[in-house]
Amino acid sequence: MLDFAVPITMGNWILAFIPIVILLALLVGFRWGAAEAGALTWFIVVLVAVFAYKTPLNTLALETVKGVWSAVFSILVVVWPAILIYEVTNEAGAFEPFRKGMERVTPNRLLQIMAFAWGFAGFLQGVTGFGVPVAICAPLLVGIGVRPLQAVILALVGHAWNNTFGTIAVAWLALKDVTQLSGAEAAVTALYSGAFIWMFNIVAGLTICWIYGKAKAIKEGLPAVVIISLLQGGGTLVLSQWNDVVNGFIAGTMGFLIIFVLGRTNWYNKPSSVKTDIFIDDDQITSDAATEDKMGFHLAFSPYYILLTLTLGILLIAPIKNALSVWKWSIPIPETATGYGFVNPEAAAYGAFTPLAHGATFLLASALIGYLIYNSKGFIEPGGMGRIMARTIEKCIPATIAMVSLTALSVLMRDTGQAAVLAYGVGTATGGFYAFMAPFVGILGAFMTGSNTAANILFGSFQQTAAQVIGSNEAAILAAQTAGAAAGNTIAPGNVLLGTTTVGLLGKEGDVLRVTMVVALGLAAVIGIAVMFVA
Amino acid sequence: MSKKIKTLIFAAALCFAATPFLYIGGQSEGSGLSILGLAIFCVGMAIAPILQMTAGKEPEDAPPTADK
Repeated sequence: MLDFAVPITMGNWILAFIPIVILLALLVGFRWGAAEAGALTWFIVVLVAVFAYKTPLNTLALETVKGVWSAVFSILVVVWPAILIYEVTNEAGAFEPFRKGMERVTPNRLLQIMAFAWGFAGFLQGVTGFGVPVAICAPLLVGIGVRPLQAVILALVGHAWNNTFGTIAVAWLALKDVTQLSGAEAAVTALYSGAFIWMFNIVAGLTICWIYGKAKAIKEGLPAVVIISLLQGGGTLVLSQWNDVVNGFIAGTMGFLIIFVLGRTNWYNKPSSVKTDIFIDDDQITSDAATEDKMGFHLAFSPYYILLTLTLGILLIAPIKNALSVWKWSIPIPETATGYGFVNPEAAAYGAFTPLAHGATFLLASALIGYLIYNSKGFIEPGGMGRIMARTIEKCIPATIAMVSLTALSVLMRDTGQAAVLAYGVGTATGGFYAFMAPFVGILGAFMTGSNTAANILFGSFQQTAAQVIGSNEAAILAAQTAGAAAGNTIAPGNVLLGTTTVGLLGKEGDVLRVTMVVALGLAAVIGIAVMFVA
Repeated sequence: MSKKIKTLIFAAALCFAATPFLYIGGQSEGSGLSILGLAIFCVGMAIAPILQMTAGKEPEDAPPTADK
């Protein structure tokens, strides 16, 4: 059915699938940490690549270099400063004033949760991406008293809807690029994408309520879910027909700002009546009354104001962004190939990183300036910098091992044809039923790459070809790909790790995945059914 | 800083130290450098799972380590 360099046999498919099964089993079943599970799985991927996918030594060497480079300059550059900004804020004792300040915005804790996990995370995804929403919002949720495990799950679920059109729509533009859609085709695909993302957005809002307090919380949170999702999801749908690039930013901003209005309404200007266990008991929160008195909300939030100012001031003003994007770090990688003839073209500038226009740099600058502000106001005790650095390094190291192994294995699977065999195998085996599977392929792409953009590049043209071969609705299949990839960000090990590392929950990635996998796969099933109706 | 973290720092350093060998070896098709690089990288990758597996075998009443 589909022409492809590597033989699409049941044996090759199973061999490519084994590493994913083992990784999930270690993480979810055996509750290993990502560092340990990722490293062991890397060995299995290497064995499969060499013995089943005919990968020569020099290809293995160069693909490993690609993996390490991508791990450092795509993810770890965000992880390290994200941990630093959290530790700076924590050392200054700024989370307690911050929590008190949020109570003045709204005393309703359910809306507070929505504000950070959904509104602010979606807004940040609209502006910056690169995992920053998870790395920032999960610790902020912990800062207002949410248990770390729930904080990570909430941030993962709440931000991912804006992956396709957020970050200046880079994932959407990548999909358009690899599929060479005409203007009319792109408009229809964008419409379907907007519709599926709206579905995802509603599911995200309801899931946040469910985690807070099951059905009673859904009932209490329903007005907010309807209004916020109308602006976030509905806004995405409408804006998809107008402007690709600012779609996610505008929808995210509207969705965030409306929360401040909702906090003044009769629904949410009073404490929540729903019993919840997602908060650490108030008597367990170490509260420093002196710090609370001296440090107001705005001073407590100052590193994050700086982050927003830098991000908005640089990424959304094209001349500044373009000027700062001139300086790039990249690595030239020659063409690599396997014995099956699966070729990865030469890359003159692989994994380009723009240090002056990247969210990671903004995070680092915000952490450093935040430290100076707190220190100048006397909120950092003597020896504070040493404690901050010690705690930061302690969290960074396991995350570094985890990201290097996970990225190295995903790059190796991608560039030796294992990932493509998985997708093509699904396409070949399911035939007319493929429409239902399309979002799951998107999820697979995001799970393996940790990126909506990379998933669209990896499987966009495959999905298009598959839709053409089975005579299905191409626009709906491609929309399912990108919406599925957005949902896949909730289970991508790299994203999960961002959350667990920044809240000090490293090694508990499996516990997070137990919840987010249900959300992502359930959502993919719903989108798959919708695609079958329109395909 | 715990002994485990110190060991993981060593593991990460091995992985990063291996990449120049892998890059030069892979580019020039020099199998010696590639093999050396892969060997170093494999040792770095193996440390975390080995720590995990050996940690599980430690008796629960083992005395605490004296890390300062």
